[in-house]
Amino acid sequence: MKARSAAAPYMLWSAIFIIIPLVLVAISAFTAGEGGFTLANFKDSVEFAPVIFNSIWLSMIATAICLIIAYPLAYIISRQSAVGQRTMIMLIMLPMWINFLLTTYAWMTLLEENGLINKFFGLLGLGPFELINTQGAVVLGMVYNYLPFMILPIYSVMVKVDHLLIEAAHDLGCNPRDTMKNVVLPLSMPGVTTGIIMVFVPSVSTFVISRMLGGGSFMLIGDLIEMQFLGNTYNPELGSAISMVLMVIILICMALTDIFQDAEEKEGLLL
Amino acid sequence: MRKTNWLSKSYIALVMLFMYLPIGVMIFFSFNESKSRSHFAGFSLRWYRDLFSNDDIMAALTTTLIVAIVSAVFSTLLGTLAAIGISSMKSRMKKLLLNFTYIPLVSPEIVMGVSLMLLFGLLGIESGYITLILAHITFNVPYVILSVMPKLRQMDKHLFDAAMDLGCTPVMAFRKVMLPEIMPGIVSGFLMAITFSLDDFNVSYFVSGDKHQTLPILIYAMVKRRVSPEINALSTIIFVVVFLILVATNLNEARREKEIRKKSHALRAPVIAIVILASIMIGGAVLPQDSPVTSSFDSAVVTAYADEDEEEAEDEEEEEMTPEQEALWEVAYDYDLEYYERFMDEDMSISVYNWGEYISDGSDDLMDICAEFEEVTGIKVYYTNFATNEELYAKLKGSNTSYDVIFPSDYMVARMIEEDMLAELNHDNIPNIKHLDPKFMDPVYDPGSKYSIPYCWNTVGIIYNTDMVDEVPTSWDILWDEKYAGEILMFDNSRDAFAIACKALGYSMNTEDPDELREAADLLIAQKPVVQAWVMDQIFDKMENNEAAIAPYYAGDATLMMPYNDAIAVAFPEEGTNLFVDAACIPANAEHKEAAEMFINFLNEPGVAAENAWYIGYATPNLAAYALLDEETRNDEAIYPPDEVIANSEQFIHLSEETNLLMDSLWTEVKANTGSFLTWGLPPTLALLAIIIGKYTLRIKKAKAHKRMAED
Repeated sequence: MKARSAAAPYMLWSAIFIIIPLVLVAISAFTAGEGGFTLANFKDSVEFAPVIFNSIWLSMIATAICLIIAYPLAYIISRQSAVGQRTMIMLIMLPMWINFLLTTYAWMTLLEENGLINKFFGLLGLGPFELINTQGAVVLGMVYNYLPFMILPIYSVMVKVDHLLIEAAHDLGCNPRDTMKNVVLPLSMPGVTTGIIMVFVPSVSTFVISRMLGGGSFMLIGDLIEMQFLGNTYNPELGSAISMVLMVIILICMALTDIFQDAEEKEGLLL
Repeated sequence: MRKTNWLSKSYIALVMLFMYLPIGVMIFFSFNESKSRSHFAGFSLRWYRDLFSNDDIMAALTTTLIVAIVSAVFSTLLGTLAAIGISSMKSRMKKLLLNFTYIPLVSPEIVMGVSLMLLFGLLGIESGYITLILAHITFNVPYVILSVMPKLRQMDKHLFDAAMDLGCTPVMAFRKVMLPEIMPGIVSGFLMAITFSLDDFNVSYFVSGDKHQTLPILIYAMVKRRVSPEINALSTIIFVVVFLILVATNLNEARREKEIRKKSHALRAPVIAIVILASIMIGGAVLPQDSPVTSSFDSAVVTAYADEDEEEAEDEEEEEMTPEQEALWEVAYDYDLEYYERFMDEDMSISVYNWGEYISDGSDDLMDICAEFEEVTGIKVYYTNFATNEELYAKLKGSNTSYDVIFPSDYMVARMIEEDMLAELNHDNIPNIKHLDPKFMDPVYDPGSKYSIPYCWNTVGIIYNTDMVDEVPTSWDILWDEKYAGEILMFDNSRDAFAIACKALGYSMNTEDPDELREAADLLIAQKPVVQAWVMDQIFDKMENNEAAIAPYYAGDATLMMPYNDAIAVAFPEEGTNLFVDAACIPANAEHKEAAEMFINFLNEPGVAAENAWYIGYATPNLAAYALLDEETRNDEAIYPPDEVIANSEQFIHLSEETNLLMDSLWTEVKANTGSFLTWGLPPTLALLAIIIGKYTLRIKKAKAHKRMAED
């Protein structure tokens, strides 16, 4: 069939702009500063284990919080009338049109020592609390920015769950909790795994949120990579090695969520 | 039932409050009278008015829209073709390619940015529109594929064959049969591509060049110091436009709910949003503006001159002006037009890469130097910012951008000279060199000033808030004082931070002794518990708003904070401090060297340099400009420190390669150090283990259940 060749330009494009660049990163990671093969960059990146672990930890917390917030929300939305659903989804997508740097900047205004939240607590005679420049602030930034990426995929599977199935479960004697556990939850799993990936990956690799809300005190992998390429310490080979480490972390994360096993089912889940 | 309804409603309300709180803050402050982001000075629409005359923002907006539209069109074409191709493949190949499509989707943007930066560097493609568009297409195509694929699968495969049997050519069959079927998918893919492209920062950051910045990159540069409220105004407009369109389409749809499928219409909204946005932008740019570029320059002259007709309330500086100064001001703007108009008709442009807020930009009634230069010479100036010397160095080394004028500090000038990164200046092309203080013209970092012309000089001091600190900081030790824990800010750059630690230990700030540097690093690690944040230009915001009490920073900057906060003062520690010079240089790969020299010369026109010195707040090495300054500025110790401070200070010199590497790795260690494995390693390891164990027990359980079912 000729139709198959329609994918050729895309394959060529991917080879040039995805595969080759990744190979370049890999080559650079194994290159010494003066040229020649070396493993030193990986040895050096072991030094940054605290940063790497800390990034994973904070992103895990952020992902878990997103899931806890998003799942009930997606469920509630999917049970609304058609108009209600559209309105809610519109309201969830609208903030994505405001650049995340600006909303994060606004969070700075909210969280500061003399910020709006502390002023509010001050009126109640509480505080001031130390909100900004903490790990909590960094997690909050991640949750805020990536929450829609958790809500939307879960919602889009929830909405496809057949009402009749739920009714059938009821008729067969399931109480609401059992229905949730045995019917809704398993059916919504593809959305959950997509959501986890969509939140975890950008969280673990961000380099702006940690800098703005963490006051430069909580370095993440993204900061580390950015520092080696365009930041304070110029060392692209080390940066490449850390990038490879990051890719491995994400591959592990994907293996744990089985994203590859049912890729075909997931088309169109993102919207 | 009613109870759950009430519960879910309040849950939704709570999440919405969370999502819209910062947006509310942003919109609220777009109506702020003052520039502050935390104090509301009164209602005003001035930022909405100023927005359209802000060239930087308008240029960035244009770039963003062009990149978004071009890349969305290409990625829609590429993605639709790919989806058709993939869907006609055999299942194995299909699965492989689909999984492959997921790679850019799930791989971290920073890795994509970095890898594309390496590719473009290797291919020698200059960073700019092309690299931005190529990168955006790359991350957009998968979204298109994934939204077209489901439509293709829903389509009856035999329809296409039937059309062919009935005499359609493949092209016709595609147009008449397939295209209408998959159109909703294509449209939604296109819109997703536009949305992601408009908002992208992480990838663009690594592939953008000197001339064309996208809006997110411009915002990022601003976030380092203070986001100009015009950006808030622009975002508010975007927000309202998108909101209105979404509401309108939603209402419209609710009305004809049943006849039409959902997506194709809901998603038409963003396109309309972009069209409206573009027309607002064009409208705003075309509208007559009440402040043409030259007026700021005229008013600067007016305030500088002792004009007798002026009201009495005018600046004190006028009264202080001596008759000699008046005479000097008379000729301060006598440009040598024959020299400056050489490239008038050549449609030339230069890229200037400078520190944030480091050139007078037309605010505070001072000259907009870049605009004035464009006016006088006809040379277009592309102006972008960096935050640290190291960032400047990395940008020059790592990416394919050619700047024409850069402003490294002393030690960085020396490093760049050593690595052949700078072009030798032709002093004949910079006649205003005659105004420069000979004291600065043969510096250690650049003997004979062959590669650099001094731009500003200043010292590092301790800036502190007298309301929060009741002593005068006479020693660097105050930065380690537990009394001020959580109130101390620290330099977020290795060289300045190490200089302070070395000085506190009594070593030279140019030490190359690994043991001394190790000791300094340990001291910086010991400082972590009392430090509130590591920042650069964010110091302004934090000090002005009483967020922090003490910050070591460039002393002259204190004078810029004082108007916003009366309690700001500056002190010089007795251990000695750093005297630095920032110099104008031309990179070796500059495209327009002569125009760059002309720009440097223009910066040293007495009137220009004097206005610039007022704006920047640092000391000027230009004697003719110094002569024009008012008495108060000249006597300001933060700007021109007392002789004993200067005598007690050290200048940075260029360190050896090994020392630089050592300092870099020590610095990363300082920033990354978070205690023992128990604190940083254990929680994530345990959590990961728990997930893995949980997953496998679940899988085993499932397998058992399956088995049982099979047996039954």
